[in-house]
Amino acid sequence: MSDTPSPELERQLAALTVWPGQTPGLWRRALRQARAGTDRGATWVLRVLKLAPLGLVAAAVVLAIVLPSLYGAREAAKVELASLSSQERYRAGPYEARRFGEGVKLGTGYVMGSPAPPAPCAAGPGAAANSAGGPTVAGGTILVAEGSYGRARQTSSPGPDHARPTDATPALDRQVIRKATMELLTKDVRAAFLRAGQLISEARGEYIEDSGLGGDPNRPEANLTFRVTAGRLPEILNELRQLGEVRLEKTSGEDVTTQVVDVEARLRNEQRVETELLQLLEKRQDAPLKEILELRQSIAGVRQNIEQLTAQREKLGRLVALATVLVIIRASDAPDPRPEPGLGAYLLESLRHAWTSGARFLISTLAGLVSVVVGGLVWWVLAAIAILIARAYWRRSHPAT
Amino acid sequence: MSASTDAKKTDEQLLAEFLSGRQAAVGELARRYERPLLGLALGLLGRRPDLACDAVQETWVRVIRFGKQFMGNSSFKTWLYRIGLNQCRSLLHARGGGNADGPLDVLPAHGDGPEQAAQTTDRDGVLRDAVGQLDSDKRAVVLLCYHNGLTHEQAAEILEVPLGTLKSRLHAALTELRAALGAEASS
Repeated sequence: MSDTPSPELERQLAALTVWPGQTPGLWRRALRQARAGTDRGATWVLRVLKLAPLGLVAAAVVLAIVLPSLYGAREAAKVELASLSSQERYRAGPYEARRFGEGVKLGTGYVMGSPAPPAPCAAGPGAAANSAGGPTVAGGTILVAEGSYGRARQTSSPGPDHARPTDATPALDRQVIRKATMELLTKDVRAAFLRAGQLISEARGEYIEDSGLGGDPNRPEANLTFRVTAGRLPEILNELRQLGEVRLEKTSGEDVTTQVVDVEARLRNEQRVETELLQLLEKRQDAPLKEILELRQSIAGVRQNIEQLTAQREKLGRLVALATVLVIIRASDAPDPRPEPGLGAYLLESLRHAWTSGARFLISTLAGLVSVVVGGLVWWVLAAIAILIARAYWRRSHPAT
Repeated sequence: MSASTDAKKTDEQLLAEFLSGRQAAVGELARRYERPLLGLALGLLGRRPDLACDAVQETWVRVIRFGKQFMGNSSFKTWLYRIGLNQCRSLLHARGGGNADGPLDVLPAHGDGPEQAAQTTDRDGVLRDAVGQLDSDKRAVVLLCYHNGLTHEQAAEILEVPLGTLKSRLHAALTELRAALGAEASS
C-alpha cells in the first residue's frame, strides 16, 4: 500500500478542517478580553484563595511537627548551657571573676540586708586591727584565709611594684571569701538556737547578721547567719555539730585575690598622683588663680577616687576576714505533714496528674499552633508571594500552554 | 494605513506593529488566519463550532498578551498554530477526555443540492468516524498535514516533533484510516 492517499481521500481530509461559514471576528473579542486584564488578576486571587487554605494547613502541620522538636532542642541546650555556666562560675579562678561586684555578690550570697560590720576585723592569733576599721592592705598587713577554712593569718602585702598574681605565681597568698551552710536536726530547737547564738565572739569582731526562730508549733525552725573570723570557722563548725544531728553541711570559697591586688595597685597609683599634685601645688603658690583652682579640682577628683578605692578594699577585706555561716535548725521529731497516701488517694493523685499533663499538652499544642500561624505570618505571606511570582513567570514563559 | 498596505506586510511586521500600539494590525493577522484556525479547531474538537470559537478566541488572547515573547525562532504562522493546537488540547482535557468524539455537525457546502449534500454528509461522516477512532496524536498529525496551506515541515514544527517522526505517525495514521474505511466499505 502506498503512503500517498488518493486525491479523493486528501480532499475529504482537507474538508474536515474547513470552516464552513463566516468568521465571527473573534480577534475583536480577544482584544476586549485582553484589555480587561484586571479580570485575570481577580482570577488569580480567586485561584490562590482556593488553594491557600490547603497549603496553609499542610505547612502548619509540617511546622507543628518540626517546631516542637526544635523548641525542645533549644530548651535542652539552654539547660545545658546554664549548668555549664554555673559550674564554670564556681570553678572560675580570680582571672574569671575580676570584677569587684561579681566577687562581692557571690561572697555574700547568704547575707540578707547586711549592715556594715560595726567593728574592725581581726584575724587569728596575733591579728592586728587597724584604726581605719578594716584590715590594712596597702603597705601593711592584710587578712588572708587560706587552705582549709580557715587558717587566717597575717602576711605582708606586696610592694608597690608587685605584679598582679597569675597562675605562674602560686606562692602568692590567696584571699578567699568563705561561706558555710549547716542544717541541724535537734529535739530542742530553741535551746540549740540560743547556744548557737553564744558561739560568736564579739571581741573578735564577729556578729550575728541575721537570726530568726519560728515555724509551726509542731515543727519549730530557727536560722542564724553568723559572720565569724575566717580563722575560727572550723572551730565554729565543730561546735555547731555538737548542737544536733547534722543533716547538711556545705562550705565554699571564692578567691578574690585578683580584685584585692587590683584595688591596691590602683589605690597606690592614685595616692602617688595625689602626692605629686600636692607637691606641685606647694611649688606654684604664685601661679595664676585659674591654674591653682584647676589643680585643686584635680586633687579633689583624685581624692574621690582614693576614697572609693579605699571603700572597695575595706569591703573586700571584711568579706575575706569574716566568713559567713548559715545555720538552719529544725526539730528532729516533728511529725511528717504528709502522711502515706492510701490506694484511693494514689489513684486520685494519678488521675489528677494525668489530667494536668493532658491539659498542659493540649495548651502547649494550641500555643504551638498559634505561634506557627501568627509568628510565621510573614513567612506565609512571603511564600505565597514567591509562589505567585513563580507561577506567573512560568505562565509568561509558556504562553502556548 | 490602508488594507492593501497591510496585505503586503509579513506576519512578523504586523505583529510588531500591533505590539507598538496599532490594533488594526492584529485585524489583518486575523483576516489571514482566523478562518484556517477555526477550521483546524473544528476538526480537532469533533466538529463543535462553539468549542472551536472558544479555542480560537483564547488563541488570539494569548497572541495579544504574549506577543512580546515571540522571539522569531519560528514563523509567526507555526507559533500561532501551536498556540491554537494547545488551546484545543486544553479544551479537550477540560471536557474530560483527550478523544474528540463529540457529535460532528457536517455542514453542506455552499451550492450543493440536497442530494449531493446528503451524499457528502454520509461520506464525510464515515471519514469523520474513522478519524475519530485515531488517538489524539495521530488525529492531530492527519488533520494538520492535510490542513489547507500547511506543509509537512510546518506541521512538524507546530507539533514540535522531527519531520521523520511526523511522517512515521502520518503513515501509521493513514494505515489505520484505510483499514477503518475498508472495513466500513465491506460492511
